[in-house]
Amino acid sequence: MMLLWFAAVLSLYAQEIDLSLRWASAFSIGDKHEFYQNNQVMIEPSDTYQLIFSIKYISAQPYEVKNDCVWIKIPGESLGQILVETTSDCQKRNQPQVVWDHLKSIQFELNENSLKLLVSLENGRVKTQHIQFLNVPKKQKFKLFDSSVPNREYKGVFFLALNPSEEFKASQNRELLDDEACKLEDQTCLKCKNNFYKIGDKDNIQYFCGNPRCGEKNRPACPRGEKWQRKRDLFSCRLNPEHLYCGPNLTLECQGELGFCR
Amino acid sequence: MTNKGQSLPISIPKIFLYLLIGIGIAILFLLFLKYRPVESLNSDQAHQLREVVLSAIPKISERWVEGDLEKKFNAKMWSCPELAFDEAIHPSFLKCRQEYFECWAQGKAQVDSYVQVKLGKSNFKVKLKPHSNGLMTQYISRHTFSEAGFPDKGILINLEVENLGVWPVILEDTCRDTYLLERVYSYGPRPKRNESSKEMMWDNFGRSIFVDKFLVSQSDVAHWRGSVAKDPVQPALNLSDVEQEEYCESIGARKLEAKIWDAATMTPSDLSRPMPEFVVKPWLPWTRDRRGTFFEKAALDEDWKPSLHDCKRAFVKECTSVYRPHESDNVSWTGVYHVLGGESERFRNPIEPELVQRESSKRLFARSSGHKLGSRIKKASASGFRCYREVYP
Repeated sequence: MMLLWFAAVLSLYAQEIDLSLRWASAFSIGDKHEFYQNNQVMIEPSDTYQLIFSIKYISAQPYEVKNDCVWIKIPGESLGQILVETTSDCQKRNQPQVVWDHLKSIQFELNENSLKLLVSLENGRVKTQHIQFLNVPKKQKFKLFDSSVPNREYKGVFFLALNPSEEFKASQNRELLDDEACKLEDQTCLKCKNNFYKIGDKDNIQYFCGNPRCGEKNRPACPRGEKWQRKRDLFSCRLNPEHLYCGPNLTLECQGELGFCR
Repeated sequence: MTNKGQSLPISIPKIFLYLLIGIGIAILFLLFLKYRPVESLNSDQAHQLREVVLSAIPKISERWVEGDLEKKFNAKMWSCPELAFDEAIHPSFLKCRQEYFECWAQGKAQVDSYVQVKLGKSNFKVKLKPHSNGLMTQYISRHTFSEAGFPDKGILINLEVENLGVWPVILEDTCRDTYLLERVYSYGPRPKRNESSKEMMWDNFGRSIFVDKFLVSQSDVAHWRGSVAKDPVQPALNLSDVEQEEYCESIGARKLEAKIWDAATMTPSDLSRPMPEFVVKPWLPWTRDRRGTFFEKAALDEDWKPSLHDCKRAFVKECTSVYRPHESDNVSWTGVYHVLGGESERFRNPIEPELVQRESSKRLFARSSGHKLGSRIKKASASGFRCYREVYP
């Protein structure tokens, strides 16, 4: 009798992961699935595991940054599941933990800084969960007098893990040195030791770590903008480089569409 | 007498059975301890902690951003060793300021050092728990607390609710900078008649640029270096160009460029037209030209003496009052302060690399023609600096 009770309690604990607490300090969402629309019932491809997004957060034990990859087993012949796998890169597999099991249908709504899960169970019951990602910034259109601080749920407040047992150990993952290339899409620019900068325009944008020191010798040309001329001409480094400038006595040299001062 | 025919109350197979059950329970318990999800422990308590702290956050945030709301910072009432009373300190300096927040959290700012939260029938007190070094606040920058995706500048505090636990948060410096509208601007001072001047039109469409409101203070530099500021409120004047760049990089920014400074201080003639054919430039941040200003009065009258109000507008050589670097009357159209007079400042200037220092400063008399926007000189004296940030989508 006692054994049965214990097993029941154990199975309850093994299944339920409180995502709202686990991700209370989530600060970045990545690896978003391109196919699934918000609030769409997930039916295809049935009986497969699909990565729907990954999320970076600060765990309390140990007190450090972790990355959860969120997988969904699409219901088909067998019932569906929602699982999280804690791994630095979702390509690298790890032991998954089941969030919800025995699911007949699964829907989710992933917005800029919130997630809604809506599932129906084998017995017909419907379960929902709404999670607000307090640290994930929303896009904003800046106005006069606005500050550069990201538009989080509580402006100017960044939450770490609840009830940590020790002092936070930063992983010093800003390891990219000056002038190394980086990308905004995969968030590698956040790993620049000394900030990052953009060169180029429109289809020829590249990002590099460090300080551009634009306009100086052997450094990128400074951006001058394209609308001040009030012309419809297309700007081009080789044909019309007036959208760039260099310091006195330096000449603009084009490498493709990117301008440098020599 | 013993009854030899009667068996023992507990038989050996039963003992084995109980033993097996015991071992089974122990194994299950160990497995449970190993594989339990951490969040499940005291999750009600954690949920309550979350709710209480989130209810207190607006008040905590207000205290950080607004500083000395009750105006208790005066010579008679002040007793905070981290932030000694100084007449040069304007209330703006106490906003998003670690020294003031530390003082408040330690209960020395003459106001309650906690936030009361009522949830249902229960009352909770949210206060700060000291770090291991005994201080309530810890300075955060890209260099001191490096983790991709974390704030670039702020303070780390531990919010504690009795019997519920602790939730550490970073309060970001939301007071530091102000947005430069996307529009066409022009570099350089307004040229005099028949005078050729180096001007350059440019625009920042598609770029999100933010300019520091005030000069970088000695307090800011001391936090960055982990040292103690001699005169925290005063601008940091003795940093080399490299050190100025390094400081700005440490908070995810760059040393301010001359053309961005001109844009942030020269009020556009028509804000509703972001793409004017010509940029008409003012000489002063507050009016189009010098007529009727105290600069003109000083030029016309040798006995002119500035009023307190004049010195708040621009602290010039004639001013005898206390110089307050965070005075809020000396402001431009974008909300950048300390535009004319006061301590001079240095920029990066790729257009005219020699002309890096703002000419207008407290070293010039009010009658000097150097008190005009866009006017720069070669690096001449110790000067302050500020940073700017570009935010990418």
